[in-house]
Amino acid sequence: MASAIFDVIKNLFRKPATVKYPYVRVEPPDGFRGRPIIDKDKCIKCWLCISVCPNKAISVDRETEKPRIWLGRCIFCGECASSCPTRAITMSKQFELATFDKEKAVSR
Amino acid sequence: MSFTLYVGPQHPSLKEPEHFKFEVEGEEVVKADIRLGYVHRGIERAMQDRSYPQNVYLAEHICGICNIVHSATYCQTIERLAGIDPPDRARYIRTIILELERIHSHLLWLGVAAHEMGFDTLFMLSWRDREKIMDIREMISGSRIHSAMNTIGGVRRDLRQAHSLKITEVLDEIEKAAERYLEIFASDRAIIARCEGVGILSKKSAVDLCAVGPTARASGVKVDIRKEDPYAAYEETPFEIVVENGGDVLARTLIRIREIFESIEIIRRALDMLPKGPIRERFVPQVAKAEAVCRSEAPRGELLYFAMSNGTERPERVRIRTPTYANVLSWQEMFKGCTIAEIPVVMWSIDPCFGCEDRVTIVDLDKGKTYSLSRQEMRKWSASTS
Amino acid sequence: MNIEGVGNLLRDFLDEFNVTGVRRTSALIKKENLRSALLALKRSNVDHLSAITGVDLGDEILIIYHIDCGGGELLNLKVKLPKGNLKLPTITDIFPGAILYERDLMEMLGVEVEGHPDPRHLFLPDDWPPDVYPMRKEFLEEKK
Repeated sequence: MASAIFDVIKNLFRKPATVKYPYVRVEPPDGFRGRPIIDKDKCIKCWLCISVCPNKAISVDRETEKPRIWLGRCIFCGECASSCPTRAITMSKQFELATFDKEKAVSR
Repeated sequence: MSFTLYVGPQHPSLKEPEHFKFEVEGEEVVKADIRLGYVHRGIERAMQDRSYPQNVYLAEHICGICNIVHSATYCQTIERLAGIDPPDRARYIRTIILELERIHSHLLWLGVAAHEMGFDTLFMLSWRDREKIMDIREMISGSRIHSAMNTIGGVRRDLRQAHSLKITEVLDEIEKAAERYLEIFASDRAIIARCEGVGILSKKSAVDLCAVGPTARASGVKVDIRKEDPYAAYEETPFEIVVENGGDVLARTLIRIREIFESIEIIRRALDMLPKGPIRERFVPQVAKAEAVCRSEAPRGELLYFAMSNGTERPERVRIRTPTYANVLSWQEMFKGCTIAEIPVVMWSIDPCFGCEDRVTIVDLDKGKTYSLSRQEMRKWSASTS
Repeated sequence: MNIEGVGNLLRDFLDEFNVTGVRRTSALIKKENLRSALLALKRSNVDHLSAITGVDLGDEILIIYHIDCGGGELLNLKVKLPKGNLKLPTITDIFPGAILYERDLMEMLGVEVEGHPDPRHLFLPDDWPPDVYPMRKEFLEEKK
């Protein structure tokens, strides 16, 4: 274990590898697969998203008659976004989705 | 007179639930028995209820550490079944992300192995280097762990020029770090004392018990599926098969560090030779009756997928044989003759991933200091993000 | 050993032998000839058994032994068992690496492997009801 003493001393002069999250935010890169966002104006109700979803997380919302994604089942794979012909579903950069309220864990 | 020692399923060493029954005489282990099935999820049965494209994600979620190789092997098997060939650019991109996964898996293994030996400094350093690979994976695929890149017929996302430059930069840094780890592991007296001669698996046992992967290669069996049964772009990117003859924990450690160098070479060649063209071939969901078998070299060993179709859009049967499943018998053999204190080191030395689990192992660090956020502080930063 | 060598070695035991693709061969064998064929392979240094798969085809169960004959050549050795007589001889004395794969066959499909040294459950819990086999087609019907 003593052979690593030089690495330990070198590390004293390096800046820390950790980021002081949650006080310092790190922006995820472009193309990050976060929460899917539905743009209701672009949706043409083809329901391709429902048939493609691997985990059956998308259903038809009763009020808006547009897709409704339940984030409890969503695996954030982005198949709905890539198969939507009008780009109505996009994957945003939001990843802090933990909540106590089940109604908030929905995208519609 | 022998005494039976039970270890698990809440593990002291692995953070994965398995049950071991050791028969010990004094300090020496005479016999080991391993009980599996604590995370059995019925995936093979579940795959029969879903269509072929949906099963790509089910295959991916079998394991967090080696998710790319599971989805790639599944996609290759279904491509063979349906008789389609992925385009060249897709094969090269698959090779690049598969090797990036191998590097990250070996660095993860290295860190936890050092932690098992009590060498926490090396654990921190190797996981710090692993973070660079995870950042690349996030940049290429959109997520650190489940990359969702593979699809039947090719890959879903393309690799851009900016990505290639960043990958080359990071590979140079990882190469320097791996050279340092090789120096430390090959020369440090404390590590050698803990690893040399411990958990020996002879070549005859490795062959008889059908061991695979680095576990078999550390006992002198020169087999690597990337060379024997090439897939993706491995035929065009030559590399050396790393073999050691010790059969002990030290041999298994050195093999994994040396494999990092080979992976770096493969990625560099693949980036140089990356052809232009489409990244995806069309797949028609109905597959006529056929059978196909595909094997690949996961970071832990040989992974086998067998699929049988029946004319509908759901598979008739998908059989998955993961490398840890093949290594369990060799594992039981390795424990014979080691002392109780050496059990954690030998346990981790084959890099177990039970039935391939679906989450990366999480290690709790005792910082000796606890802090808490008040409700107001938590509400403040939570409000700033939503 | 290359695949022609394997074909010649097992010519007397096999019912069918087809090269189905690059490095893939499929062969059909009767369960009576299974052990002799595997002994012949083991004596010729073909010693890596990759996996054993069981498929429920309705009125019979197909067991496939995936054997790596060296050089990446994979031989899929198939045995068909009628559902009325699901008995198979063990190969654990020839290929000790087959112990876990045969346990898996026994618990998931209900195949009786005669002479197995350790016929316990592998993945299923101890209190799983007997005679319920998850990979059989009947299990799917019951669930519905």
